[in-house]
Amino acid sequence: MDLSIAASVASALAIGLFYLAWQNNHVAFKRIAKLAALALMFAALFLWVEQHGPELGTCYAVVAFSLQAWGWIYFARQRIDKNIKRVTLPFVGGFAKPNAAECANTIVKVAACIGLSGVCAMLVTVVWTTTLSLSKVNQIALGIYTMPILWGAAVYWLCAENKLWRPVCILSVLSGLSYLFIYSV
Amino acid sequence: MSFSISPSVNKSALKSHAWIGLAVSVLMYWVCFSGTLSVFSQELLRWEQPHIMDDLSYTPSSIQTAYERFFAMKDGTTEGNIVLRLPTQDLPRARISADGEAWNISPTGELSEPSNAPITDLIVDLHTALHLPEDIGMILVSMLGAILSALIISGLIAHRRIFKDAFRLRTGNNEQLTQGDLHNRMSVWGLPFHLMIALTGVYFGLASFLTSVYADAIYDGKKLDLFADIYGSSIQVEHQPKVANMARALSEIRRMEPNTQPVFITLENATKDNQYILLGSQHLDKLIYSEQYRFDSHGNYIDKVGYSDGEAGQQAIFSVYRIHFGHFGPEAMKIFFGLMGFALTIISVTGINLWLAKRQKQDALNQLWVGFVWGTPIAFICAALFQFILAIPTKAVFWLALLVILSGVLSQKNLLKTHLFLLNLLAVLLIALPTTHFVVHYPDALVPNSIAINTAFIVFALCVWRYRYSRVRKGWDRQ
Repeated sequence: MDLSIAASVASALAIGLFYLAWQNNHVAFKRIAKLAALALMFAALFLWVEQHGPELGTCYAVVAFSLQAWGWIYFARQRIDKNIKRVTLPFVGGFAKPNAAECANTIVKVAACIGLSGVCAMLVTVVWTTTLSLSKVNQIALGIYTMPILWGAAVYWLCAENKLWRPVCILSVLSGLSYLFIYSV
Repeated sequence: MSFSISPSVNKSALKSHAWIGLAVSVLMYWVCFSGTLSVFSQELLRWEQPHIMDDLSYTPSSIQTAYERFFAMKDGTTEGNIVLRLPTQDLPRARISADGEAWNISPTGELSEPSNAPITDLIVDLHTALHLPEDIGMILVSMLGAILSALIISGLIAHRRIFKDAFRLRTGNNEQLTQGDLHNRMSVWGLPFHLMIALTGVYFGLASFLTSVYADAIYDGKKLDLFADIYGSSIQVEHQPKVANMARALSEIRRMEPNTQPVFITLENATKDNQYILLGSQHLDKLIYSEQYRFDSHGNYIDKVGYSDGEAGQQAIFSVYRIHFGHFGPEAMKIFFGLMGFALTIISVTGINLWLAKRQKQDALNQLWVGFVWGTPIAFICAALFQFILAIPTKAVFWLALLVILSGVLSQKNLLKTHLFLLNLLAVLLIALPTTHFVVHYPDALVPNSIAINTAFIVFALCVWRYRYSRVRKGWDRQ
């Protein structure tokens, strides 16, 4: 219990130091404060782990840090009471109808985000994790936890790229190569 | 050395973030909102049936009695396994189920009444499968987990002033500024939590696809070998007695593992010649759902599957459930998880609000979004009220209520007034719900769990009124 309280205090102090570093314009002070805040963050993590073990301790550290940061931000909020005239946006009934090209582009994008990205992420994940010198169970667990990130990255690229054919082609090639690697080796 | 993202990358990341967010807007909101409520599913389940006594003093013999009564009621045969949910601190009541039928168990071992929680089911089913058939729904929701990780990646790259604005929250008259700050601050400081929810969320519906590919790649297509490595191989027993000795297995586990909390008993291959007992017991210092201990039908210990001291990967896989739902540690942890889930809900709403505000016009999309955001909790409460008063199926009422709200909102041109009306309606319903619960379940509603939940509803009503009042002060009702 004592360690948990110490851990909470340490992470609150870490956020306080981050806040001071953020507010201050002095470069040297900023650096020292950030370093000290990082050290306190790790100290808090260590104390949580010491009290509750590595699994629960890490979870408590993450949750406590986020909630304390939000609490700090709320209490340090700036109230801007300028008399801003509210602009009422014009109301146009119904929907803005997209043209055929936009519809086609959207359908391709959605299909690629769900189907192609998902398949590519799964196949590539299996390929890269199975090349690591880990036990089979650890390879699978690593794959389960990292596959969504690859999928997310692929979706991001598909939606960020102006030339849609580029990510579509590259993801298709990656999927094909991974498929060949898995099913022909 | 300084690290910066070029403005063009930044711009395309913002475009990507907006596109992905819009594509999943309503679905993501439903999953986040119902997920927040699902954190408290065990408390809601107790709230729905407050007359069933909470009690931790179940003995192995009372569990055995309940099992034998259930066995006799089913005429000694079941299609599937028989599952007993044992009482724990967060759900201090026992339940037995098989073939889609579930009964509550009294502390003396009687089958008191069927377990029935339509309101909790309404919420949890929306979160796990969006009320679609389970197979399709779970896959769709898991895909949203992957999309959430795409939103996190694109959001990070799009956020040019991530450090400069690290603590900035501007409140006041400029609604758009406040919403933007809320969206960014909550996203950035809650990042590890959001990422963890996304990664674990993908597991439930899509892990089977990934493990199939793994089976092809490293197990020569033998899925059973993969399952044996991860989930433990099944055991072969024969000539087992028809009635299993669960009391002995329970007593044995308390003697063998006194520092663990038994949470369930499954009678595998129930009522068959090769039935055996699988007893799940939670290790309180670990995130795995439980270690599984196996006993034959006489109650003799055979072995354990080995999750608690197995490989790191095996433990990581078995930790997914508790990490995702925050069902670990003290009861306060659930409140913290609820808060963080609510923050994710706010992020999903403010993101769309910002996109709508930037369009410089209002159309049916604005109307529908307001309808979905405020209509969903209103529809939840309507479903709960109709269930309490008339026992009408909750899902039908939920969708009907949402449809009525959306139609109503589409017919209103003054969005601000519609918004205020929905806030008013929600606040009134948030008072009506605990009042109805109290009246229908008096005096059983006077148990601490029900009092806490009913009080929480009243506090939420006050928060909604406070929010509405702040909008009225800004002159929303005069426009």
